[in-house]
Amino acid sequence: MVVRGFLDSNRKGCARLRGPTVDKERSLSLFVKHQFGELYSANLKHAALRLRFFSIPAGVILVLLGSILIIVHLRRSIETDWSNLAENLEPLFLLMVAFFVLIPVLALIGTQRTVRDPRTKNGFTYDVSNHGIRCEGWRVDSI
Amino acid sequence: MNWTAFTRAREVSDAFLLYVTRDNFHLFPKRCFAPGEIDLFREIIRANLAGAKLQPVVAKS
Repeated sequence: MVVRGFLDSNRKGCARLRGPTVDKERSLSLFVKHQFGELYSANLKHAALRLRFFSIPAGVILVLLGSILIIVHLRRSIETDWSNLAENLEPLFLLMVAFFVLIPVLALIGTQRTVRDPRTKNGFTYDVSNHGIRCEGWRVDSI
Repeated sequence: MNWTAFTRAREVSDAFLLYVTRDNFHLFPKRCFAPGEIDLFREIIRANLAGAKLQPVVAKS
């Protein structure tokens, strides 16, 4: 661990140790014009990953509540206590459903806002190298 | 933007996401890359961004 920490804090030394290929300048230029579908997909994946610690237990609860409600609904002969419980759980079930509906809706709203931005419509030019990423949000030839 | 401006990187099936903050990211769809550029892009990210979650570079035979 100590050695790794030392090497990480000494990136130049690390590169010298690893040989000349690391020092070689590598760069690429990209023109990116986002499509609605891929922006929505990325926003949705991002939202799902960000909320995963809440959405996984919420999903389990949703399945359990849904199962209880279905069983009580199908078996009308079930005891009154269970029917009362099902009635009480229904608002919680609807709240969970609303939460899961809200995730794609929020992603859609965010995507629509991004797509309306004129810079997104014109596309971005990225120059990627070891120094960093240079982003031009406005292509001169498209104005 | 210097590489220090980016907090992390993630690769999904059809794109790369380079995060500036927890909720803001630059999206690089894989369809925008020429053949071979995806591996180069991965190498550059790996060299400059610690903890990037990327797919391994496929070795060429």
